[in-house]
Amino acid sequence: MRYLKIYSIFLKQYLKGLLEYRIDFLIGMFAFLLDQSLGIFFLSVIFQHIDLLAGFSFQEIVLMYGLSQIPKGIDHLFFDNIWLLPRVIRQGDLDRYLLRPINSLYHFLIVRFQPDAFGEIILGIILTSYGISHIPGLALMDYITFILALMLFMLIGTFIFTGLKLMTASLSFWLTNAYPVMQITYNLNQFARYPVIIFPKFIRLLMTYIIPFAFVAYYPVLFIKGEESFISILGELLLITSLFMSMGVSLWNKGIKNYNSTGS
Amino acid sequence: MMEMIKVNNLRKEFITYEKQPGLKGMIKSFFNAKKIIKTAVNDVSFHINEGEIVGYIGPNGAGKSTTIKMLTGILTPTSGEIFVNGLIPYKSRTINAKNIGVVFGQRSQLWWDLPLNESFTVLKEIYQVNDADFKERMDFFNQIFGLQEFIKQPVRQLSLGQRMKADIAASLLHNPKIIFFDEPTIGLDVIAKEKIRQTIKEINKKFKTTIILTTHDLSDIEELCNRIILIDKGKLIYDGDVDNIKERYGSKKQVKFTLKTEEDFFKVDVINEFSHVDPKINIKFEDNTLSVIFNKQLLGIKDITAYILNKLDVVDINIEEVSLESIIKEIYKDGLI
Repeated sequence: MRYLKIYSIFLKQYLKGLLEYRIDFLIGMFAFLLDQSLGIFFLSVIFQHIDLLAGFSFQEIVLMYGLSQIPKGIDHLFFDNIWLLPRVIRQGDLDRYLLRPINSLYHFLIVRFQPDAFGEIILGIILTSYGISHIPGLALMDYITFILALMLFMLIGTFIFTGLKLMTASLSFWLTNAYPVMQITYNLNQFARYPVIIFPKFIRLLMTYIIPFAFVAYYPVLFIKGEESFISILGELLLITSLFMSMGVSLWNKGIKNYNSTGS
Repeated sequence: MMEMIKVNNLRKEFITYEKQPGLKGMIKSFFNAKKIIKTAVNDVSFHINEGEIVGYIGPNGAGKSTTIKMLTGILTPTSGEIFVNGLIPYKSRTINAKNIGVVFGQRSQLWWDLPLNESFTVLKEIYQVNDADFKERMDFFNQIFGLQEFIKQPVRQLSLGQRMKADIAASLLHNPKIIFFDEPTIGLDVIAKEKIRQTIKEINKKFKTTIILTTHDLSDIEELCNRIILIDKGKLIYDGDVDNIKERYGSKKQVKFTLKTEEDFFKVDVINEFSHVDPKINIKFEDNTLSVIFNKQLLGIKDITAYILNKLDVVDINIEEVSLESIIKEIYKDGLI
């Protein structure tokens, strides 16, 4: 309760700031949407020459694209501060988070809120709605079930991003600069926009078992196509995210014990 | 009397790896890095009672901040024991955090983008301060620091003096049992310094707050502390009365004469002239400047300047108190008092 109250103060402040800089915010979002729509445009060009890509229709690929944006955007919105951890540690700025009688990780996460992420979330919702409305032969009840199921997947899938970032960022307690490691692993999420099946076996295995971004969009689309069961995707998502998050949190806790601060 | 802080045989080592210059060195040290162990705090022990104001001092790099960071739970000691109000800080960091207030003069602990009043609202929640106490304390801070003048501004826009006042007020909001002030007056003007010293005194008197103060400003210590702990190169070298130190070193003065030529130096013999009055009189000569360090209770500035001015052409004269830094050096050189 106390934690939520603290968070709401920070959030209110950021929203105020957002209104102050609404022009910058809108321009930023517009640029992002334009950039992404180019990607979609190219997909549509490709699909003028082919009907199916590895068994997926244009609408299904768009759906996948959309689904991949949403959890990424939610993570971006709430947990963006993790990107700054390597620098914060190197400059000894983590001190301040350790001086307060609240959980240090929580404190670290709530001080930044990234409204740029609304671009990803909005794009994701538009593409997903487009994709899902073009699936033939669905009754109203099917839509509702699908949407609820997808929302659940997205919500849990967010923590694949967060957990991965937290694990790799926490390496900065031992490494001088863990930023490249963060970047390389995080950027693999770009593969999540497309069916993993079109990639070489190595990437397929990587995306399913090691850094399982395939669960963000690919498997949920298979579920909608009726090729995967709800329970198995949910189970695997829960397993992966709890594994990632608990590893991330325990690395953070170990790292805190190993934290060296700076000279003065 | 209640013991607030107990530190026994505290030690903190930092491990770094030797880096060799050049590409070849980089590759070499990548595969076979040489470990360098730096001992920042070396076998330090002290006990501090409730309500004491203790100056924790030493030159740059002596291990002051490292000790403070261990007492606050930021750093985990390599070995030794620490108890702060009965708690082991690095093990019970968040509980300990409720009992302590911390001000690092070099670095604000407040949230950069939050307006000051919002920062206090957050602190109120974090420390669970009730409404009545919150109001009373905010009124008190307004009274002494005039916070209302800049309370709507984000912390990043505050001037150094305003920021320091804000940081000190923030550290006091939950009425902690112990406060660590690390350079609380650094970079402040005389009036602001005085205000901050007054506040520290008042808090100590009113709430019996235990205060640990690190500073380079000897006058902070003189005005506030009855006890000092000196460390140098990680080792404790003195723990005791301020009066004791003052008697021995605080009465030293330094007069610097900038001479016209280097040869002039050999035309005077200060030590021979005055050593029968002040047996510990000392001189230094560098960059054409002759420095005379003497005890002002034994010798007058007038005597020394008169002697030198009579004999030599002097370009400039400068009279200084002996700095804390050089006192510490002297103590370190001569051993304990």
